[in-house]
Amino acid sequence: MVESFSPRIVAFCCDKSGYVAADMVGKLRLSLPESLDIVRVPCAGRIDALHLLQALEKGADGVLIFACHEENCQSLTGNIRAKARMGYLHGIMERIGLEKERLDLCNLATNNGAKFAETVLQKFDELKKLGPSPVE
Amino acid sequence: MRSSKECRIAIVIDHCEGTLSHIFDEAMVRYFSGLPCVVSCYQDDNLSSPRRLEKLVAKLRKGKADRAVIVGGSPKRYEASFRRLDLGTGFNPYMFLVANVREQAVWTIPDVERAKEKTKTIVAKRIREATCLSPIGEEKFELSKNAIVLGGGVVGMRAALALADANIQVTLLSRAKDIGGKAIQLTHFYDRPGEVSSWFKDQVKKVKKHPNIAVKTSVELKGLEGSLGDYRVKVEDPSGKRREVEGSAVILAMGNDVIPNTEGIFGHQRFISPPQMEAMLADGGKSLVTDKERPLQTVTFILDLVNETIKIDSANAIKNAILLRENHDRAVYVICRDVKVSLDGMEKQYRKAREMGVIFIKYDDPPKFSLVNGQINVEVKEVSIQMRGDDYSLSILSDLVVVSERFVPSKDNQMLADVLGIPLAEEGFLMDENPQFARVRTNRRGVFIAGGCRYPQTLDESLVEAEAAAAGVTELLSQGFFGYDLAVAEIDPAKCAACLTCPRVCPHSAIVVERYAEGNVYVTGGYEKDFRWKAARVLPMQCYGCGICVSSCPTKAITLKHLTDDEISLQVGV
Amino acid sequence: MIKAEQKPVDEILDFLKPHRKILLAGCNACVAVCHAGGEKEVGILSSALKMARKKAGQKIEILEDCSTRQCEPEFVQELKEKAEEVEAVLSIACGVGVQTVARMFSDIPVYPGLNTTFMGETDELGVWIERCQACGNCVLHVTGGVCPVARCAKQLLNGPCGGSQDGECEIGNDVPCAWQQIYDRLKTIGQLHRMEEIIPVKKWGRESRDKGPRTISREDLKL
Repeated sequence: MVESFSPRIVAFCCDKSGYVAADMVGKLRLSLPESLDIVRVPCAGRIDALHLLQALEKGADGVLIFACHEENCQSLTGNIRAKARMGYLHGIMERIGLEKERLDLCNLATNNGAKFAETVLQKFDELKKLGPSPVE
Repeated sequence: MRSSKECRIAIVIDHCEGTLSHIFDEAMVRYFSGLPCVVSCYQDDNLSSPRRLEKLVAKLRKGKADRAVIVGGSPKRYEASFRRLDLGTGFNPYMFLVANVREQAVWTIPDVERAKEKTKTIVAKRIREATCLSPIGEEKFELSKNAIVLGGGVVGMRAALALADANIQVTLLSRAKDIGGKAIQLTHFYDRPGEVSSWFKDQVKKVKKHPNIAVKTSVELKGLEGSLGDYRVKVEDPSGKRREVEGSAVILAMGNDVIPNTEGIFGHQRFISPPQMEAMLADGGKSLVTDKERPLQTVTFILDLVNETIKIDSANAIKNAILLRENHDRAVYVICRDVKVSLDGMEKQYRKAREMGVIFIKYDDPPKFSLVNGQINVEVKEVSIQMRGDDYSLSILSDLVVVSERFVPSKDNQMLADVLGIPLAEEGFLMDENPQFARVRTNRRGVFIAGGCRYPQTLDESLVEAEAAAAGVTELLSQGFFGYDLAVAEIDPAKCAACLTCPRVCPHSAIVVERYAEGNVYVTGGYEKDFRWKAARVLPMQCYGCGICVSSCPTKAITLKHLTDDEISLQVGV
Repeated sequence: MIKAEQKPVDEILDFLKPHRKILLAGCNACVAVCHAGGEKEVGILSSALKMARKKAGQKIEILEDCSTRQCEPEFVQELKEKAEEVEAVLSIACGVGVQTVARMFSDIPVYPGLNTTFMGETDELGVWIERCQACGNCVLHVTGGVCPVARCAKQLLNGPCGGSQDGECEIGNDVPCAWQQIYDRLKTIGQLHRMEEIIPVKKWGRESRDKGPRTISREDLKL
């Protein structure tokens, strides 16, 4: 049943931006899907290509990375590395027939609570249209 | 992961001042208590208070639990307090996990029943993750209270004075024969009365007389190595003799270099540089009069041909334009792309200049210069008042044209960047760690930057940086030791293939490759027992725990102690 | 060192089609250094393969392991227990490692997961360039430390061809002319006279494979 399908999203959040923004979503009392799992990492550069694939393999319909704005990473290139790894995985996903849209990145700042919620909800809708992950 | 018998988890429910009480009803508490490995359950009203947290730790120590999961608000709420707890007395701060149910469930899921369900999921996951926790210790080492300041200009001098006043022994190294640098070229402050030279002499005197400052002049910088607490600067004196200067921390204040603009027509004697202008005004305007006692009537400042993003030239031009109008009654034009007034009090000065009759002209296309009867004709198209495509081309016959010198990075920057691993910003200036929050700190612990080597700025701004850098060093050295916890990356030398990926990606130069491994992938046996192979090693006091190396390692030889791969795997699972 | 890159996943999937349980074996030496076949890549490839097969409705079980060096029989022997459990081995070592595995486990198919590309140096993180073709008779002492066999598109041994222009090779792509580099380097080290030394044609036997795979035999090391 497509109606009741609620996509499971794993969001990797950089402690310096994404995680604080996620907290802000709560403070603003904006709604987030219940099926969202937040994983806190010290820097987007900590996110291994393996973690992203694992999330998809373990049943996530979509994976989001919330990283600091480019040129604004406290570890200089952590966010760029995350982006590059995502690009590498997009290549693999394409070859195994997994939609690229299931793995995405959003650059934001600590005060972007609204943007966080918006991005998650947009992805949620997009994934709903896309349907459940074919590897589940 | 430990087996469930070994883990004894305490659940600590934080009601967050009653805001979560409707979630933590009896059924919920029962659910928590029934989760695997949970041995005890405590409740509190507000755990973000350090005193409350201390009380909790006391309770935990008496109880059976060896780790705790706090169910409440954002981890950010508690973590600052955790770190303040004395590691020796109680619970290791890394044996806590926080289930952020307030932000991630209660506040973002309006329906209470659903929020409760989500709370259960989050807590159950954190309980699983808690089984992976292990305590992380801390280390400290002594820091002697001495520092090195590189650069004998006003910025270096101000930093040295601030450090010396804080009872830190300073070695001030200067390439020039005497300390002072380029600031002597200034005659007036733009924003306050008083001459630079008297202030300047006073600074030099203070530095030379201060018992805590050792000045070494005429030394050439040859290298810099070491880490916090043990930096060694290599210098060479004119006779070619090399020696090392030691310090716990370093402030880099070598300033920037300048290249005068003398190409083509700019080589003509009626083109002068801003320091020449300053010098002319310094002697009371005597040199504003030519040989034939004929005064130089019209002075034009040309800005933004170089240094377009630097505001020094604007500040100096406005300052000198006012002096020229006020004391010498000359006609003054300032031709620029933008007037940069983002300085304390500068807007007032700009206004004053306009009111006194200084004419500001803005251009898009660089002005053209030609010689007309011994004067310089400046042709420029004014763009700020252009309307309906009207062409406001102006030609200004000037007796003196002041063109800026180009500010370029010091030649030492590249060398320092190479040996210290400090990145260079686009133009080649040394990069600060964070332009908003950590402007004078570099990515290397114990190395600070101030003044022109970071970016050319006006005197006042650079001096503020000098003080900030000195404050940073003082903060580091004041306790006499540097304590750090070991929540950092750690490399297993047996797995390391010495591929050099991690030292290359490390943003804080915290990884070195050393001979300390008992074996590596090339060992086939037959080598001496004491022989050590090269492997990468993390210097814990330099590491900021970002984890970039961990995710870059091709052999999975690196572990981030406070967030292992296992812990992440458990979180991404259903 | 030996440089390699991963084969496209779909190609690997294609030859794994008949199998339901495999061993994915990496190597922690050269191919780990070039981020193609170390423990990390084993994990990534394994995860990608499992997902692809799940999607195709034909699940695959993958055992993972990573040898210290797959070109040593002793290290490959350590995979034995796992190899006995599976239908096939997918090796992401270089071509050498794949063959050692094939020799050691003679009764099951062994597939290559990498394309072994060349012997090269690290230009910068993530960029590797070919530097040696193992021709078997090194001439680097004559050519100022720049190899014409590996770096000249025509593998010319005695000076450039007419396609060398402004230091660049006629094939384009910003490839420098190896002979220009040789000239510049010899000039810098004051050995320009080396340009006049004739490098003779390569010797058959030691420099090619017409006598079968080349072998190095050190009597003093043999047991």
